[in-house]
Amino acid sequence: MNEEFYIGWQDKAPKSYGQWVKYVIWTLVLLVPIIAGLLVLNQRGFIASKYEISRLRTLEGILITEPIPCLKIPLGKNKIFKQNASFWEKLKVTLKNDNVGVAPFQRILLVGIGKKSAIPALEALAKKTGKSLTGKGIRLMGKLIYYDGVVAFELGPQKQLFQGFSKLKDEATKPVQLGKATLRGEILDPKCYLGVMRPGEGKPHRSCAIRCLAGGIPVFFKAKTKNGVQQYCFVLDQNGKPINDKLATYVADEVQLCGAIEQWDNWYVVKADEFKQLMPYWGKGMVMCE
Amino acid sequence: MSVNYTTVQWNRQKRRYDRIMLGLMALYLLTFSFLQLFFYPLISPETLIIRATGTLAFIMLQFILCIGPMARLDRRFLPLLYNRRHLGVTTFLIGALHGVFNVIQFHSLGYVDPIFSVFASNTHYASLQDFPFQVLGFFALLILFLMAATSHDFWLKNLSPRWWKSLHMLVYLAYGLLVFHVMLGVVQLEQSPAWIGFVGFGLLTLVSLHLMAAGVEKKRLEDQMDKPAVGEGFYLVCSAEDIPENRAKMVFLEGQNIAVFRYEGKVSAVNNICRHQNGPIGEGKIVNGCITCPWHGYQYLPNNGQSPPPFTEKLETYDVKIVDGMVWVNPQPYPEGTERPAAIIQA
Repeated sequence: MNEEFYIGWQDKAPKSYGQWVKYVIWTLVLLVPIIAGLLVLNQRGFIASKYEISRLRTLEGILITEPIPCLKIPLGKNKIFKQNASFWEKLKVTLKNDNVGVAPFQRILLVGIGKKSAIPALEALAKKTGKSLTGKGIRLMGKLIYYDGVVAFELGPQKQLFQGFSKLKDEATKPVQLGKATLRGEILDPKCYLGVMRPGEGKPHRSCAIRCLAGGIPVFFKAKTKNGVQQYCFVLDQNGKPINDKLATYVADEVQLCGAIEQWDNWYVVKADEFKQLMPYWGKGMVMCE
Repeated sequence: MSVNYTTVQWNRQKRRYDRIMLGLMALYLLTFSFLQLFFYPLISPETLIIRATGTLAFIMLQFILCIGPMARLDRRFLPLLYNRRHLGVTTFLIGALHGVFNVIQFHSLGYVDPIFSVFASNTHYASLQDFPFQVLGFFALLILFLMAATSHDFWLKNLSPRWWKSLHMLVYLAYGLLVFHVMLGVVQLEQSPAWIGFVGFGLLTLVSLHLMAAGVEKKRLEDQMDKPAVGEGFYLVCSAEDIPENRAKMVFLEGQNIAVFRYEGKVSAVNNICRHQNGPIGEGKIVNGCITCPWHGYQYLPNNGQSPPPFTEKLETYDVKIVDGMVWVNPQPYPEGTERPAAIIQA
């Protein structure tokens, strides 16, 4: 029997083996781009969120440290921030206050570097300046993170963070009570979702979001209706305190929150007194609590 | 085969194998990245790296696992098997890149150690749907690391082929972990039938190939079942003419896996398991007077089962006799490397 025999350490493979391997290689050359293409084209895409990773900016505003650290930036008499009031209207929530949906201030969420809250950096800054900074006009350096009208600001390195006080005075704006409602959607960490990561939501991002919430970054909620209308909210407990520990376990799941809805300038805040995981997602988005 | 350990014993076919492997990997990564940036320019660089390396490592592992049964079904796939360990080590490296980027991206810069975070962030261990899929990837990568780290012949020799082979069979566990890693991770985000179909098709292909190869192997074993003994412990195997020149007939006798070779008018019997990676010696061929294993070309002399000097591998040998043109084998093994006279085929 003169059947060809393949030996790997020989210089050349027998002709029949060599020819066959050539067919295999050319098949792979054709298959590899097809597989890559199929995998790429069957992704659901990414939102146009933005993290200005290499650009440090200075923002001027009134510093709020509790319960959600932020800068309140006055928009001026003729510049009014228009909110997506239609979300609530579509869901048949009665908006009794005429001012709902407009705000004279824009709140910008403050977050620390990495998966950390802004609080430790702001406390260190207060220690350094020897003054309480809450409610004061201040200029801070950092990086902008934004998507869909919601803006966060990652505080810069401690040496560059404080850029001085400003003459801005705090004009306390009262929260607008929107009533009690039930929302359905996904719990997120705002830093990643608004731009630091794409995607910054869903199961693959769950552990990261849990770390961010454990680091003190406020709980963010993407409420949505079954036909895709969505609205972002920050979530606190019914007493207005952070609720990160309790909600971290629900990250990336479809969740139902029930609580009082408030508008804080351009933000919506849910003071949740009930929450549960929904599986599968079947909701109509929002209904009034019974 | 080697006498001394070298990092890689390069030869022309290994170099070609590696060049083609790297070329195909580059083709995948470039195509994936180009299409990704063209159709989804909003993807972040970290996500691009994580997805490109993750999908590539999974595809490579899938391919690696298909090579074995394909080579059993059609010997022309043996060149793919020859340098498979380079493919395996490269798969680990690509998987490690995926893992490291994931740990940096999702678990670093927090208040806890990033590796601890992999296990402690998502704690839904009791839920299938919410199971911490990254933990599955971690253990799969650990198995691939163990395999890559022990892939060298130094470990094969020192762990013994049996233990080495057992360790490397863990690759199937790694593959299973990765199937769940993908299904419970990115597939739940993308929810695309194409991604589910891709994983399902790969799994189905792999299982089918293994079942087909097992069927072929079963049939071969049935053909080699014990023959009736006739006196002095010898078993009738076949007619000498049934064994092709320079080839072997494989038989199982009293638990012994034996390859009976015919060459230069003689017949000799050696153990059928190669001392390198347990390859089927009996599917090999006598080349330049030496039995040559089909998997990696390890060689043995048919009359004493010894690798030709200076190599040191040895096989057990068996007594063979020919009566009226029929080959008889005594399955009592002689110690490895024991010279036994070949049976002469009468003209």
